[in-house]
This record gives sequence, C-alpha cells and structure tokens, in this order.
Amino acid sequence: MAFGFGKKKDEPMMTDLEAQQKALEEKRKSLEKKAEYKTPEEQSLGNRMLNAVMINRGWRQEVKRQAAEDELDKVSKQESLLKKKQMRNELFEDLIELGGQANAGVEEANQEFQNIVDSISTRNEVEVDQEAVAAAQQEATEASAAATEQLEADLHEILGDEVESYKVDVIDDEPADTYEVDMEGEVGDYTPEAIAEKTVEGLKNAHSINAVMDVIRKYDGITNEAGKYYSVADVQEAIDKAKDNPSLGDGRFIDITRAHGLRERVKAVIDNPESLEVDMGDDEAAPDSLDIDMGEDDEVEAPVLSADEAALAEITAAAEEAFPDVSEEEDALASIAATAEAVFGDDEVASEKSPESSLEKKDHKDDYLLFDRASGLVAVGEVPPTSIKIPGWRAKVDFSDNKSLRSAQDNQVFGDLVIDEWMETRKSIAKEQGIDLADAKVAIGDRAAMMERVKNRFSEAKLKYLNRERPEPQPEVVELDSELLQELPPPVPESAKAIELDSELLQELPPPVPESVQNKPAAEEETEVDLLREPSVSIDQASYEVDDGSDEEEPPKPQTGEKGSTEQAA
Amino acid sequence: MTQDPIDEQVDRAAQAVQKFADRQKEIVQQRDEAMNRIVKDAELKKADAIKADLQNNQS
Repeated sequence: MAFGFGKKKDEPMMTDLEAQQKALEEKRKSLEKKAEYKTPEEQSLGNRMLNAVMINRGWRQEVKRQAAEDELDKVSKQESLLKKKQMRNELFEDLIELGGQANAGVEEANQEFQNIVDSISTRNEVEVDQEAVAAAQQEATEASAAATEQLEADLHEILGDEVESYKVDVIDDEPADTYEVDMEGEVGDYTPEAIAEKTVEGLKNAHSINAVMDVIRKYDGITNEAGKYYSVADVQEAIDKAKDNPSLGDGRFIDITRAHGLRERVKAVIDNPESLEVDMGDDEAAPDSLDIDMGEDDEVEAPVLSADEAALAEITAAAEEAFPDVSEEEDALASIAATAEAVFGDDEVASEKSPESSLEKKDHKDDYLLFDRASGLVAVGEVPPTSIKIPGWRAKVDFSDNKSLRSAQDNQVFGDLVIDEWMETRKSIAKEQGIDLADAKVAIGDRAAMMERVKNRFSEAKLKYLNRERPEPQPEVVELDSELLQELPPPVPESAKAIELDSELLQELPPPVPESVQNKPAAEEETEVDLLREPSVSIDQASYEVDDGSDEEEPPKPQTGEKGSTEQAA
Repeated sequence: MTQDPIDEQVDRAAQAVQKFADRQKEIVQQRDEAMNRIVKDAELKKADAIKADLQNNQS
C-alpha cells in the first residue's frame, strides 16, 4: 500500500500539500515559540521593563502637575501677602493721620482755652497774665507736634526697610491701585525696593504688553523676588521671542512674570498673539500645565513645556535644599535610566538620535504612542501602573498577566510591541553596546526603587513647602483708630469752674463780699470737687459755660456759709 | 510659634500709637494745670487787691 501505483502518481501533489502544511505548522510553532517568554525571569523582566517605563512617564507627569500646583499656591500666597501689606500701609497712613488730627485738636483746644480764660477774666473781673497763657499754649503746641513727629518716626522704624515704599504711598497720597499710568516722579527719589514695589504695582495694572514695557522702562528694568535683575533689553528680547513663538517664549520671560504674579495673565496674552497689544484684563487662563493631554500627536507638552520646566526647576531646587542628597540619587537615577534606555529605548529624544533603521523608528513611534497613552492614563490615576486600557480594545491589558498580554498581542493591540522582534531588537542593541540583559534587569529594578525614593523625597519636600506658615489678614487692628480717638480727652480747664480761695483770707475779709465770689454757681463747685479727684478726664462741658447770671439768686453753698460766719466775725 | 512679621509690625504700631495717645493726654493735662495756675494767680492777685482795699478802708 505504501508503494501503490496510484499513490506514486499523486505523490508530488501530496508532498507539496504536506510540505506546505508542515511548513505552516513549523512556522506556527516557531512563532509560538518566539512569542513565548523563554523563562519566567525573562517574562518578569519584560513586565518590569514596561512598568518602569510607564512609572517613569507617569512620575514625570505627576511632577509637572505638582509643580503647577505648588506654583499656584505660591502665587496665591504672594497675592495674600501683598494684600496684607497694603492693609498694613493703609493702617499706618491712618495712624499718621490720627497723629495729625490729635495735633490739630491741641490747637483747637488752645483756642478754646483762650476763650475760657477770657470769659473767666471778664466774669470774675480779674486780669489774667496773657503772656503766661500764650506761653502755655505754645508749649502745648510744640509738645504735641513733637509727639506727632515721634509717632511718625516710631512707625517708620517699625516698617524698617519697607519704610520707603510706605513713604511712597504716603507722599503720593493715593491708593496703590492708581499707579496704572503714573509716569511722574523721579526715579532717583526711591530706593531699589521702592522702585520694585512701584514696578509691581504698575505691572499689576498694565493692560497690555506695551504698558508692561512702559513700566519696566520707567524703572530701568525689573528685579524679581529672588533678586535677579532683568534689564529693559532682556525683557524686550523675551517678549519679542514670545511674540515669534506660540509657546511661552523662554524661561526668562516666565521668570519675570512669575515674580510678580503675572504669569497667568501674560501667558494668556502670549497664547493669544492677537491680544499682544491690546487687552490683558480679566481673561485669565487656567494653568495649562494642569491639563494632561491624551491626544495622539507628539506635541502634547510643547505649549507649556518651558513654563513647567521653570516651575519644576524651582520646586526641584526647594527639594534639593530640603534634601541635599536627592541630587545624588537623581544623578544615579539618570545613569541607570541611560543604561536602561540604551537597551529598551524610552522617549522621543532617544528616537530622534537613534541610528536605527526607518522600520525600527516606526516601531519606536508605536511604542512611544503607546507609552504616552499609558503614562497619561497612569498619571490621571485611572489605572494602576501594572495595566493599561488601550483605546478601542475591550479590556485592560495587564502586564503581569501573560495571558492578557498574549490576547492583546493576538489582536495586535500593541502593534508589534511585544512580539519577538521587539525583544530581539533590544537584545541586539544590548549586545552591540555590551550590556548584559541581566544587568539591565537589575538596573531597571534599582531604577524603579530609586524613582520611588526620589518621589517620596519630593513629596516630603513638597509637604514641607506647603506646610510653611502662611499670613492671615487681620483687619481688626484698624479699629484701634476710633478707640484711640475717643480716648483722647477734651480740653479740661479746672480753672473754668472757680477759684478755691484761702479760707483764712476769707475769714479776714469784711463784708461786703465781692460779687464775683458771692455769685459763684453751685454746679461749678460740685464739678470742682470731681475735677480735683480726676483732673482732665470726663468733664461736663456745662462747666465751661460762662455764667449767664441765672444763678445769682441760688442759696449760698456751704462755702458761702463760711463767708456768713466771716460776716458774723466781722 | 513665630509671629508673622506684618502682625508684629501692626502690634508695635498699636503700641506706638498708645504711647502717642498717652503723651497727648499728658500734654493736655499739663496745659490744663498751667491754665489753672494762671487763672488762680489772677484770682489771688485780685483777692490781694480787695484785701488791701479793705484794710485801707478800715484804717
């Protein structure tokens, strides 16, 4: 049977089919074999590679987001501080004004005293030493003026280095928000701090880039809060660069604007070039850096990259200050990352510089697209970093589950991401560069652990940064003004009531008793007793009034009783 | 706990104003006393004059 006629005749055809079937079967087996991980270690390595890459991407997104959050907090804090300073300056202005009012009150009291003395002089028919009165008035005036000057000096001393900016407010005698078009005054009159303060106020109210430049030209540059000086040319250059660039220009301009809480406003203007010369008013854009673009293009981060990088640099500096050894870990991390990325490829920069074939670049592009999506998903917390949800695919792909990976692979969810060519390519690169995959595996593990440590350090630094003391407005202190005004006593002339004559002298006096003494009002005498107990405080104004004669018929007081006995004795 | 610098400035300003108010009270009080003294001197001067007149009349 095996060598039958018919069979021999059909043998070539059968052989061809069998050969094709056999070839297909072998190819299938080969592919299956290639598609499988050779060892559990290799499978683990693959999973960890993907995890490391995605964690790295997610971490970078998170760092940027947290940097933006910190930046927002910083701007809010700065605004709060400026508001509090403004309230303080207003309070100090009120206090100075209060001193002036008190001084004027003393002058008025002097005049009132003059009137009282004159009335007493007329009523009692006595000659008052007008020179002594004038001297007393002069002394009070001078002492009051000196007290007012002392108050102002004390307030200036309290303000210390900020006194110049406060003086500017006082001299101009106008609220800070009216500095918008104030182009008068001499720059040389102010200290650098005062100039910075005025520049900030001017910038706050500038409604166009031109207005910003006018303010900066007026003060011959600008110094940010960190003390870095930018000349007019620097600022102009940054603005020109920003005009030519739809993104935010270079870091200097961001730095300049951020220094004065203008970042968002200027950013909104720069983002919309049409408004460069017009309006910077109320159209404040939300920080773009808070958005995580899930799109498919490669320019996801371009518009806000410089802003975020600037903010990130600032936060990183704060973290390094709090944890000096972070930089060492970051250096080590960078070294490890370079090793791992040399093997596996990681980001766009590596793609552009890689001397790989166009096919390999395409593979990379797919990888990057996938990783971008994955990192975006991880960054917003939709999925844990060990799995991702691919758009258009029915289930999540779990990197720790080989079955899930295979299913995704069979359905070409990853394109050619996890197929053997991808792995082989990495292996060949590793071989070319003399990198042992086992070392790379260790490096990836170390890298993930180190990234976690750096991330923790960063979180600690951020917490420390956020938990700093923050000023709270306390406007209640202003109430002090009215209280103090009420406390200032009215002028109180004890002598306005009566003269307590020597009793012995009175006893010696024979009738008739002088009319000026006899007709002294009882009310005045009662007040006199009170005044002797508490001089200068809470005196009834009625006691100032000149005797109108209506009391002439009142019965004599006990003191006049003494006068009666004096009459008897006489 | 460290006090906020601006709060500290405001507290010190309140103290300075309180000192100013006390000084103004003192100035007013001194001026009152001076005025009382001047008027009292005038009254005593007048009493002395009356006394002298009376004594002259008696004599």
